[in-house]
Amino acid sequence: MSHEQILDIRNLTVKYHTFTAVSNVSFSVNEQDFIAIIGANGSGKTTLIKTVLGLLNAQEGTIVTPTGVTVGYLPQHTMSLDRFFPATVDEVVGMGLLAKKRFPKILSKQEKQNIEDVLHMLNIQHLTHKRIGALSGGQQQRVLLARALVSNPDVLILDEPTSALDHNMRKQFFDILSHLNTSHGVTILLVTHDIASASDYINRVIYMDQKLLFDGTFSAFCEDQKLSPFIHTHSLRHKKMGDES
Amino acid sequence: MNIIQELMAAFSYGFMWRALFVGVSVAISSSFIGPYLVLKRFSMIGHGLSHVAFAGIAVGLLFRTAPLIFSMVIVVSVSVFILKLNETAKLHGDAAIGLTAAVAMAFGTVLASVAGGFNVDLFSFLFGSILTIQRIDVYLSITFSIVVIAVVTTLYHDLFSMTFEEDFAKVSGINTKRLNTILAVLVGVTVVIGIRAMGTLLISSLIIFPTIIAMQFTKGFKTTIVIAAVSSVFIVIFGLMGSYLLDWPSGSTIVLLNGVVFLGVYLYNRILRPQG
Ligand SMILES: Nc1ncnc2c1ncn2[C@@H]1O[C@H](COP(=O)(O)OP(=O)(O)OP(=O)(O)O)[C@@H](O)[C@H]1O
Ligand SMILES: [Mg+2]
Repeated sequence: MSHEQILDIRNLTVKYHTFTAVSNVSFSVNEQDFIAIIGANGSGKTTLIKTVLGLLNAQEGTIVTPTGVTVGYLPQHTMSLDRFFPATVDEVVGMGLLAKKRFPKILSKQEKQNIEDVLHMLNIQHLTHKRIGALSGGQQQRVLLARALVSNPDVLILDEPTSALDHNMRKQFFDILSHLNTSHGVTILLVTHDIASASDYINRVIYMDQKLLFDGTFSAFCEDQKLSPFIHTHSLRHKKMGDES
Repeated sequence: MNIIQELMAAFSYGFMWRALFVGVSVAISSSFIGPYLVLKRFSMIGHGLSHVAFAGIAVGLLFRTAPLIFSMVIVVSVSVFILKLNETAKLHGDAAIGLTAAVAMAFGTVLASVAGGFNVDLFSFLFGSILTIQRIDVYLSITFSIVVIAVVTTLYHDLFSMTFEEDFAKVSGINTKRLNTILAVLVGVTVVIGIRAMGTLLISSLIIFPTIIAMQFTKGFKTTIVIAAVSSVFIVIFGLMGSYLLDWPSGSTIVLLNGVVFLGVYLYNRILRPQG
């Protein structure tokens, strides 16, 4: 697989005042990569992707993307949405298209169809006219994923998107991501604590704790972890054995 | 009918029509910005700014120049200032508003006492009085309301995205800093044009009430704004007529009517409607 580079991060350091959350991180992402970014709570994953998205400023380092690359973003803590916010599911998903548009912000027929298709794909079409605050956490997460997907972005950046999903939905969710990745060539950066579920779909693991500790394939990561175990050792071993059989 | 005759008589005078024009335009513009402020947890900014408007009016009256224009310049500047304070200093929005309101009120009352009182009834500026509304106020409110409504309508999708989730809006390329500043200017303008009918102390309720009344039974964002505007227009019209008939201050009458409607909608939702 030879794909063009879509994101290049060099010597990135991000601080909150004096506290260093991300320290001297370098890696690059190629088109159609499906990367899981893992690490313990507070290891700087959210800080890293927020900096990549331009929401935080880096103290040092560079982030380079080719011009014209579009990004879809699913933030962490979608559960903290205002329960009383008056917005219907279709209004929220439409935001994924309308927020990027120039004036006049009107949806074309094709775009309305896109919204319907995405809602169908995520199996939330029956919720279209519901208030988002009235949905369950997992349903809300699917709505916000729909909002990220509806504009057909080149790169998807997802911050713990599966934390509120049940077992079945989690599998469906990864199948959808995998389909987008392999059939539509979407590059995916996925922050997750559930590397065991993601491992079948990803082609790379980035493991960080302020610094970048590992960058490579999942099986190489498992080998690496035999020397210095990671918190998820148990599920990893289990997974690894399954792979070998 | 006595009441109808009385109302007919009222409408034969110019002041009642002026009050209606001012009231309706303020009702629409304040319910257009209300949802953004309420949902961004910034609804008390109207309250803070109304204190500033009071100080502005005191200054204007002191120099015998158009108090509302004077007030508008000051209020809009302070509104943007509060926003910047909230963005940059380690100060929460409500603290920034509380401080500004207190300082402005202190300043206004000191001015009033130094000047030894004004030849205009300050009370009417505090609680609203339809009798004091001039032709120029009508032109001002209609013009500025149209500006507020036009800007909010044009920027509707950006404001909606930003209110729902600021980070997502930024990633989508929306300049949220600029948008927040525009919102702050619109709030300042709305507060000042509402002073004649509502009074400085009560204008903020015209920003908050329609939104929370609408939120009791709407699901979508657009419908919330539309219902807020429609209900606010009706409440203001009935409030102004009530104010005339009962000889109550217009702002107070409108606020009380809003309270009654809110209570009615709330109870209806809680008790009479089968599902929650
Ligand atoms: N706004 C902030 N101000 C100061 N420190 C912060 C801020 N946000 C995060 N931090 C700190 O930076 C570090 C990294 O936080 P970050 O949110 O990037 O971690 P994370 O890897 O995403 O964790 P989690 O798995 O819990 O989501 C943490 O130690 C956190 O305390
Ligand atoms: Mg995080």
